[in-house]
Amino acid sequence: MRRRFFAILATACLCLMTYGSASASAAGAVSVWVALSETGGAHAEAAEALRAEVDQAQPGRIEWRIAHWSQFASSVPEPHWVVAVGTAAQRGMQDLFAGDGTPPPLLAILVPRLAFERIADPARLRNGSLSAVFLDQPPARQLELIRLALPAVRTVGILVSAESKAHGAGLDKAARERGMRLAMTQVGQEGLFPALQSLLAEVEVLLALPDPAVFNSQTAANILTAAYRRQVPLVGFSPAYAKAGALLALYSTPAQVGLRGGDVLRQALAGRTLPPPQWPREFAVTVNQDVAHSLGFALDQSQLGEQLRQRERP
Amino acid sequence: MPRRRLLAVLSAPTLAVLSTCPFAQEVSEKDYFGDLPVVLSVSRLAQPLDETPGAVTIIDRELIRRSGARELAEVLRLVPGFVTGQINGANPMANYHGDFDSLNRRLQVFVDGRSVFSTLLVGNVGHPMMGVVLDDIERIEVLRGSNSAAQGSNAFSGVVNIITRDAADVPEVSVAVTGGEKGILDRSVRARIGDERLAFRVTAARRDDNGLDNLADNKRVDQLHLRGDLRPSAADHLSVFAGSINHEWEVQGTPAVWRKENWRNAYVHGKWQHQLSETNSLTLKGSIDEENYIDSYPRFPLKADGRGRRLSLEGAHTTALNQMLRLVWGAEFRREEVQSRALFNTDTTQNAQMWRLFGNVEWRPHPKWLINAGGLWEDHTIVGPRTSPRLMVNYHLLPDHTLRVGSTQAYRMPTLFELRGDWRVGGVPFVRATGGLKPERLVSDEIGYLGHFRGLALTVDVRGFEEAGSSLARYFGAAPNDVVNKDRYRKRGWETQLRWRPLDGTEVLFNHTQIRIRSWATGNTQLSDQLAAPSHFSTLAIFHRLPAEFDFSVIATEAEQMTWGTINDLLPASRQIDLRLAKGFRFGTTRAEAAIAVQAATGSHQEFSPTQRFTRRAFATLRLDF
Repeated sequence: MRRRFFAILATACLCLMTYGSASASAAGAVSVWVALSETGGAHAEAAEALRAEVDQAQPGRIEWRIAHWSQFASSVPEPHWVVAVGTAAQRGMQDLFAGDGTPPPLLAILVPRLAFERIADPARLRNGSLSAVFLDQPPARQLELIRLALPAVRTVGILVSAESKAHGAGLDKAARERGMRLAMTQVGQEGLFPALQSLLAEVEVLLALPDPAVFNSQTAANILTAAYRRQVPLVGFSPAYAKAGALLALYSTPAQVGLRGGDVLRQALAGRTLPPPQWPREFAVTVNQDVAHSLGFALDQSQLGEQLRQRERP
Repeated sequence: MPRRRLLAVLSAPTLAVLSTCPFAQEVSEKDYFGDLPVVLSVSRLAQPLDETPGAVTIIDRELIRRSGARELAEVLRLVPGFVTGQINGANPMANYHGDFDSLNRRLQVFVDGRSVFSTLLVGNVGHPMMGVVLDDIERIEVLRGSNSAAQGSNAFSGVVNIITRDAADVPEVSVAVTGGEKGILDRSVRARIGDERLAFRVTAARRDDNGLDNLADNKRVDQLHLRGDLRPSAADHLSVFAGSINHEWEVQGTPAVWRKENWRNAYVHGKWQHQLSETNSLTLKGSIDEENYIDSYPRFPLKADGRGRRLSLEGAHTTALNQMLRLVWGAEFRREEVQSRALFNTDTTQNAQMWRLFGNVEWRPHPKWLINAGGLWEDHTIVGPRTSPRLMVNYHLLPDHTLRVGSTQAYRMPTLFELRGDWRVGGVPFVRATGGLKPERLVSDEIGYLGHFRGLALTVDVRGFEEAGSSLARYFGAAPNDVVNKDRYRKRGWETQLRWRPLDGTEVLFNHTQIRIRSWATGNTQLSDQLAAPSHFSTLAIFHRLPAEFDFSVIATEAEQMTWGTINDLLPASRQIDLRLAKGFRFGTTRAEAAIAVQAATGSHQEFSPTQRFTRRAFATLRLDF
C-alpha cells in the first residue's frame, strides 16, 4: 500500500514537472527518459555512462530525466526517447506506453538477452521502436575466449534449465565453427546435481550461463567444488565467479554496457531510428590466477582480453 | 529403474507448483551482480606440480582402470622408481628405490588422509594397500622421495597418497565382476545416495585368486567401505569414513605344515575442512584403526595371534600471509597399542605415543622462484624426539619448465615390535629386541626437472637423487636375533617419466630408473643390500582409444636382477607384458564396459624366490554403472 502511495505521489510530481519542461522541449531540446530498475549500483552506473557518452557528443542537446521506472507516468507531450535500464524498467516502460499507438522508441540496456526477448512486445520489435544492448556476451566471443585460453579443449559443457536452453543453438554453432563440441545438459526433474555429474563426466570446460534455476548463490559453491574436483575449469559470466573460484570470467561492466547504450542512442538520435538489439562491444576478462595456477594453466588476463578484442576487429 | 520413476512421479506436482510462480526462476540482470562466496580460496587449492617440494606422479582413475590392475601394487609400476613384486600370490609389495627386507615398512600410504599401516606387523603397508577397492579411487598422488619433513617417520622413503572418490561423484549403483584363470574371481558393488550437498556411498567387494602356480597361496580379500560427504556451506566440507578389511591367505610350508593367515582391520575416520577466510583454512581429522592377526596351522594345535590399535588426531592451519608467503602448520597426536603373546611373549599391551609438530613456509620472493622450507619435530615416548627438516627450491626457468633442488633429512621411528619384540615359535626364541634401537636416518638430496611441452602434449619429469641412509634396523646376532642399528647405504641414480598424449584418448607413458646402491654392510648382507633394487628398470605403457568405444592398452616392464632381502633368493632380470582390450557400451543411462586382460602375456617370470613363478593369466571384467 505504502509503495503504491509513493508511486501515485511521484506520478503527480512528475506530471507537474513535465508541464514545467514543456517550454524547453519546444525550444529544440530532445527529451530522454532514463528509467532505472534500481536507483543505485549497476543501474545508476550504466545510466551515468550512457548520459556521459551522449552528452559528450552533443552537449546540452538532451534534456534528461533519470529516475526509478515507477516514477514515470504517461504524459503529454511524451518524451522523444526512452531508455530502460534493466529488466523491470523495460517491462515498466513497455506497460506504460502499451495503449499508445505511436509510443516513443524504447532502448533497453543492461538486460540479459533471454529476459529481453521474453518480455519484448513483438509488434514493437518488428516496427523498430524497441531495441536493446544486452548484458550477456555473444556466443562467438565466449567460445573464442575458451579457444584462446584453453587451446586443447574440444568439448565445452553448458548446464541449462528450460529457461536458458535457448542459449544452446547459438553456442553450438559458435563451438562447431571453432572445431569444438558443445555438450548441453538440461536440469531435469531429478535435480541439478545428477545433471551436473553427467555433464562433468564428458566435458573439459564448463561454461556458466545466467540462469537462477541453475547458477545462483546457493548452488554456485557446490558447482565450483564439483567441477574443481574433476579438474574441469569453469568460465563464469561475472567477476564474482572469478573471485569465487572460476578459472575465467567474461563479462561487460555496467559502464561498458551504458557506454554502448549511449553510442546506440547517439546514432539513433541522428538517424531517428533504433538499430536492432545488440551485444555490448566492450568487455572484460578476469582470470583467477590462483585457480589457474592450481589447474596448471598459465594465463595472462590482459593479454587474453587484448587478443580477444583483436579477433573481433574487422 | 522403478524407484527413479516413482520419485519423478512424486516430484512432478511440486514442480508444477513451483513453475506457477512467474518470477522465481527467471533470469534478470540481478544474476550478474550478486556476490558469491569465495569457494576455491588460495588456502584450499592444490599445489601445482611444478611447485611441490618434491617429484610427484599422479595416476588418475582412468589410468587405473585402463591398466587392468587388480592390486594397487601393480598400479605403482606406472610410477618411476617404484619396485613392485610379491612375496607370494597373496602378498603384493611395493617400495620406492628398493628396500632391504620384505617387511614393506618404509613407505607412507594414506587413504583419504588416514595413514594406513599395520601397527602390529612391524608397520607393514602391504595389507592396507590391498584394502582399497581400485574402482573407488579418484587418483593416487605419489611423492617420490622422503617426506618426513611434512608427514613424519612413516614417510621415510616416499608417499602414496590415495584419494578415493567423493561420495557425490559416483554413479547411483555400480557393479563389477572379474573372472578368469588362476581362480580369479572379483566382485564389487557400490551404491550412492544423496548429491553434492550430502552424499553417502557404500562399497562391498570380494577378491579371490589362487596366487602363483604350485604354491599354497590362495587369497581372499573382503572389504566394506562407507564414505559420507557433507557440505553444509561454501566454507565447510565434512567427510566421514568407516570400513573393514578381511585378508585371508594360505602360506606354503612343506605340505604337512601349510598355514593360514588372516589380517583384519576396521577403521573410522573423520575429516573436517573449514575455511576461516579467503586466506585461511583449517583441517581437523581423527581416526581409529583396529587390527587383528591370526596365524594358524590347521593340522597342528599351534596358533599365533595379536591385536593392534591406533588413534590419530591431527589439526593443520593453512594461511596465505600475502602474495609471496604461504604457511602450513599443525600438530598430530598418535597413540599405538599392540598386544600379542606370540610376538611379545606377554599378554601386556605395549604402547607408544607420538607428538608431531610440523610447519612449512612457501615463499615466493620472485615469480620465478619458490622456496619451500619446513620441518617436523616428533617426540616418541620410547625413543625420544627427532627433527626432520627440508629445504627445496623451485626455479621456473621458463613458464612451463621448472628446475628443483633440495635436501631433506628423515627419521623412521622404530615400531613396537622392533623395540619390545620377543618372538617365539613353540617356545624357541627367534627375535628378542633389547630395546636399544634408534630411528633409522636418511638424508636425501635431489635435483629435478619438470617440463611441459604443450605443443607436443608431452610432460617430462626427471629426478636425480642421492639417498644416504644410516642406522638401518637389522635383525642381528646369535639366535635369538636382537634388533639393532647397523649398516649404512647410499642410493644414487636418476629416474624419468615421459607422458605423452599425442591424441585425445591416447597416452604413452615411459618410466626409466637407474640406481646404484652402495652398502657398507659385510658379506652376503652387503651383496643383497646392493641388489635391493634393480640397477635399471623401465615401464612402457600405451593406452589407446580405438573407434567404437574400444580401448586397448599394453604395459611392458623390464627389470635387472634384484633380491627382496637375501642373496639366496636372487631374482634374475625379468620382463612382463600385460595386455588389455575393452569395449564400452551404453544402454540408455547405463554405462557398461567389458574388458579382457592378459598378464604376463609373453611368458612367466620369477617372484620373490627361485621356486615361485608368475605365469600368464587371463581374466575378463564386466563393469556396469547405473
